[in-house]
Amino acid sequence: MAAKRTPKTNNPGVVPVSTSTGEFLHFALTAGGPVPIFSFVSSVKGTLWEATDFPGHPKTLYEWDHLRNPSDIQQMEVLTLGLAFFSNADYTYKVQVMDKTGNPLRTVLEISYNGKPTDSYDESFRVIIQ
Amino acid sequence: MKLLIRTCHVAVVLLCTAVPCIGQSVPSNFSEWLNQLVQAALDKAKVLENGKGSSRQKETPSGDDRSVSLVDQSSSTDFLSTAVQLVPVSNISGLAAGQQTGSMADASRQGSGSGSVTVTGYSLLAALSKRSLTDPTFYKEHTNARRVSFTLGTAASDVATDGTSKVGTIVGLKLAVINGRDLYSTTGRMAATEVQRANTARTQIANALFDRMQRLIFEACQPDGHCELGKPPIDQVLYVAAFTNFWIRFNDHMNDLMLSAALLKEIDSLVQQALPGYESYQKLVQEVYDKVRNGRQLAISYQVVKRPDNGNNDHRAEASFDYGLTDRITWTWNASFDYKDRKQLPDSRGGRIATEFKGNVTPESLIPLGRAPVTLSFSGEAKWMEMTKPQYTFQAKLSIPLGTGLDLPIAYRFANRRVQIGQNDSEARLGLTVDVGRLVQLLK
Repeated sequence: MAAKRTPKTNNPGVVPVSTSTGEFLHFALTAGGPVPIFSFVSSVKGTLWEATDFPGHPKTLYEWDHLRNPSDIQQMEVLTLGLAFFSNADYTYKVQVMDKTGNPLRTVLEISYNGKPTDSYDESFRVIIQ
Repeated sequence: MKLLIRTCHVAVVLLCTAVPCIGQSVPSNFSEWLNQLVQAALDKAKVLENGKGSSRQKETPSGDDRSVSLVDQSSSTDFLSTAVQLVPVSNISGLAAGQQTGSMADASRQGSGSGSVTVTGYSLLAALSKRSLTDPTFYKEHTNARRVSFTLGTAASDVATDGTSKVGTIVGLKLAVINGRDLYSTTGRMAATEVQRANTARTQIANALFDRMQRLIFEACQPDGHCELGKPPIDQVLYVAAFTNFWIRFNDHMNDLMLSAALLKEIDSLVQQALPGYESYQKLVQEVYDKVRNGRQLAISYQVVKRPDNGNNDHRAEASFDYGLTDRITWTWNASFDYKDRKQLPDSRGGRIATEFKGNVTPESLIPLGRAPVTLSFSGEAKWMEMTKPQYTFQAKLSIPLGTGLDLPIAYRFANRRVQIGQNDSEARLGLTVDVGRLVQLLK
């Protein structure tokens, strides 16, 4: 906790996504290095991603999609990104709603964080399937 | 409305559990609001502060008698640093007014011309590759390059002890044989794995807390922000739409919610239930952090002060060992073989042992480009050379960071024999160290 948080687009709390038209969420986490530590958790499916799951870890950019696979689609799901600043002081977290062809429709949130080694921060929002 | 909000804040303060502290400054965004709630509860539970460890050597090596370092650390800076001896600033022993002026002048002459640049193999590689010093991939791939450092500098000289008054050249090489504090050491890797596991556990707790808190506030405060526990349940068919509309309206206007005392109590209860998970995380991270910062380090080094004309050349082969005694105190020892190569008189050989206890007055960052702590150290050195009586030296040093990458070491040194420090029994020394890598990164 207690990391410095600087929103460019603040967390909306709820994110409507029209999965019936093929919309999905695209996540991008930029890390300053040297060793990013983070977890991405769903209230329905539990832990979806950890930093070490990504090929090439550690690296400066981590990207993943959610709701692209029909089995991911769950109404009122809460998604949380948990950041640890133990060995990485700077992160930028960006979430976008994409259309079915993969083009960005809108930015859901874009927030930068800076913290000390013992700091952490959890950013959550709820997905509303439309 | 404003009166109601104030009333709510007063109620928050009066409740004085985990919630009250948010009364001081309530974020309008729900995510920030919730994180601040948890932070307030953690602060209240007096969770440990950030801390620890020892720092790396940025000063000129001890082989230069004018250095503010009496003992060499086993690790240099991660990247590149420079050190300048501005010293000595005063002659402590010659306090008589008449003597002091002369001593100051002598001292200034002795101190001028000393300075050094230390660079790690890693920073050289990064510069040549045009990569960021903290680039994750580069940092991982060149762990061993951080074990090697080179020092180049100048050493002030005087005729009585060095055979010349011309400035000497310092050349040094250091290799960290054991580097237990690197993030890619065995200890560092284990630490990262443990923190990752703990981070996931904490994130799961945060996820559940967010879920429950968002529902609780919606169910108590819908549809207009007037909050009351025990409102009739919402028709499940309408629930999602009502929930969405409510949070679209209030997510960035948390201050507009009229939280009742009963609801605040319920909110506090949820936070308190989640708190042990957050505390476990902080405790583990602190422990792991201490383990890395206090890791053992062993280095071997060679340095020479080469002087022109008939000046003496001073060679030193040294082993240095650092170990974190506590979360803030580091113990260092040096053992060295010294060889004085005299051009006009017989050479002399000898040995030296030195030890230092260094304490961090302020917390130290684990991040390579983080701010250095204020440190206070006490050190002692015993030196035996052929044809010379044993020399014993003691030093107290305070190092003050002036900013990221810029430190001001102030040392007071006392020696049993005058030859050790020129014409004086004791003196104060002032230095300046510049960590160029950190400065450059800061200016980017």
